[in-house]
Amino acid sequence: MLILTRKLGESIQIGDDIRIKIIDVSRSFVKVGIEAPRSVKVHREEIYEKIREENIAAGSSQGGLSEAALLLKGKAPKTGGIRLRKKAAESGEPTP
Amino acid sequence: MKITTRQNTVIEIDEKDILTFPEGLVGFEEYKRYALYSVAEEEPFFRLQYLKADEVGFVVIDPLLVMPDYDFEVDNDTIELLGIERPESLQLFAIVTVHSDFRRMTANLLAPILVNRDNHTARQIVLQETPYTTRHPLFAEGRDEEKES
Repeated sequence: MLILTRKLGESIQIGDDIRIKIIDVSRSFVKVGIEAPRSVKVHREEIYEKIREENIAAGSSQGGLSEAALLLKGKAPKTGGIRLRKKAAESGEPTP
Repeated sequence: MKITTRQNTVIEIDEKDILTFPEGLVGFEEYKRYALYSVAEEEPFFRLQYLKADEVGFVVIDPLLVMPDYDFEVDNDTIELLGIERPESLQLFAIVTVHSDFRRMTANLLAPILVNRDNHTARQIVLQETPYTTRHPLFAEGRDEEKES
């Protein structure tokens, strides 16, 4: 693993189009800003891993659905639709 | 096209119910084309069946049936990827983890599936900054046993 030391506000350039900037450093947290092309998906590792594990568990899980289906059938969604809020354009905004 | 259901019956799938996930699903990146169908005795559950192999498939459900006020923002990247033009053409699903004891079934509300019915394109969205979990119990009885870490 390549290990680099950076100061607050400095960046690391990876290839032509990925930039990682140190936004804030506190005692045990580092806030980084990431600029990357759309095709590069950026996720917190533990969250991505959790979803991967759950997808694999769900994909191999087996069992009858009819009992659960009967219980859920009476429960019509109150809102009856999807609510979407369009996010303002983001430009590699860091998330805490 | 015809597919064989989990109940071993052959059903006809309409072209509009064949969904393409350009990125696959998380952990299933190479699996991109699925048939979406439901059978009467399983409604309101749906099956998302990978087209090329019977053994790859998921159970999905409208997350609003699990959590009536479920809500999140669709980011611009997803709007672009799915070519979303009309919000009313969107359909939302959560992947269900089935359990032999049905009271312990859970739904993944952290990474829902958004479908654009206009072009049959779908994506599993990884939500950011959200209280939702990957194992939200479908039934209150399961809520004591399946605690999210």
